[in-house]
Amino acid sequence: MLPEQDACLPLASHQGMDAILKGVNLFETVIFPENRGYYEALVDQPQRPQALFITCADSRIHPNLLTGTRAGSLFLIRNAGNIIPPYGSGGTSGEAATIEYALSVLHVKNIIVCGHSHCGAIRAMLEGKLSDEIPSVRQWFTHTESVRRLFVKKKAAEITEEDVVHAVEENVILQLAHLRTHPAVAVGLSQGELNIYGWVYHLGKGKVFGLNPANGEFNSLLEKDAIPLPSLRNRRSGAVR
Amino acid sequence: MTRIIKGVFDFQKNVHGTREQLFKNLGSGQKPLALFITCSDSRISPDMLTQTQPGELFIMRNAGNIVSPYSWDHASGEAATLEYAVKQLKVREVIICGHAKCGAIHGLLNMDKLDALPEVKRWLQFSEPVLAALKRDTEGMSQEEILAIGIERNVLQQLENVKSYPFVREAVDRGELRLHAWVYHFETGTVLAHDQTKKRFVSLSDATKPKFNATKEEIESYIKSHQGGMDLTI
Ligand SMILES: [Zn+2]
Ligand SMILES: [Zn+2]
Repeated sequence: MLPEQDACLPLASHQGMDAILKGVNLFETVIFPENRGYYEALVDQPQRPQALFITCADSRIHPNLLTGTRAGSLFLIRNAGNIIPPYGSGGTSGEAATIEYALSVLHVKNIIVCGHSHCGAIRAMLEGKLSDEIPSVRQWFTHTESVRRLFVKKKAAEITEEDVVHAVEENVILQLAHLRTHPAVAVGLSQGELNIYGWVYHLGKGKVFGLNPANGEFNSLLEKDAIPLPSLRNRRSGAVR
Repeated sequence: MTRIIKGVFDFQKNVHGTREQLFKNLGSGQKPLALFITCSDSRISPDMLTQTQPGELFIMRNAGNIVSPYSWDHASGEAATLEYAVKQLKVREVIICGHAKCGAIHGLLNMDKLDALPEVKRWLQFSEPVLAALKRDTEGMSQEEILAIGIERNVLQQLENVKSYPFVREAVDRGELRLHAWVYHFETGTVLAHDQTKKRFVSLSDATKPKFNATKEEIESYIKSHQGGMDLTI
């Protein structure tokens, strides 16, 4: 088994389901009526999200808060580890279907793969703690096995948060590569109709770092404007890393 | 995209600063209250809908809020995320939340027109069991009515798919896990929940009244604390 989770967050006012039910009631009675016009406008027309945002299921990530967007802006894929299985890697894939829907039906023009610091599952993988107790998690993380291999020489006790962030960055780069294997993504990129981005959100610091195609590093979005990653064609011509 | 990048700048500069302690604590682990499974649809903001803060909801999202059923030899993202939530994070609640006007369920009702979307078509097989009964029960109804009922039936089907996982059944049997089926109507801003005794979807606030309804004081203090651009989910 994995070790116990870290201490509970100090959110004492929220106790389990009661808090969630109360929250919904607050939304229904206060927030919705106050923003009725905004919500009603969302329903009248088909959704037109600005981006497909792929991130971890981790409860500490609030994509709308992070990007200053409201309902209607981001189409979301969320799973443990923000993993995208490569196209055709066996089995029916919700990720493949959702990507196809976002690109072919909604004509989304931007895809952001957003990893995050303190990722519990990535840390467990680096520490060799994806045990038989959680076989599905272990098997799912074979989609990021090459990242694990970068750290095999380290003992579990030696894994630092710095290592976790490094692995999270490598995982984002790997999942971007997987993303490119999906036909709709490949076509969109080669036609110049789609931009893809790799981000890492640093919890606790409140900072987002974006993969800079010029140097292959994750730079603060404050320093550099986000630069979309090039299509394979450009990559071959040596424009990036 | 510029809009999104600007939003990130704003978050880093303003939002994060005003709630620094909350965000600092985020670095020390998560203990979410629930696993919330919902559609990728951009119009759904689970944090807004449940008024929860960062750290409180573990979230799985895909087209159609679908969970592939248990399979011993293939681990999907749904299997891994569900397993991590229940066995590792030990969440006590799993909420599957469908929504009105769901494009994926619209696709399910028009499977013959999905040849250009092979992956979507394959994915919808996990919702397909609802089709036969739906056809029988909705004869003569309008497309809109059929879609609304299809959305509810899909949520219940996904609840069955979640129950196909042995570790879910075990946790439910031990009384450590509860499963919930919801449908969010963003046109009216209300949530319907499946009532197991009545065997139909009822208004969540009616079903839980009066215990979970916000009191007048809570509403007032909420409005007060959110004045001056403090709205957490913007
Ligand atoms: Zn994570
Ligand atoms: Zn939907």
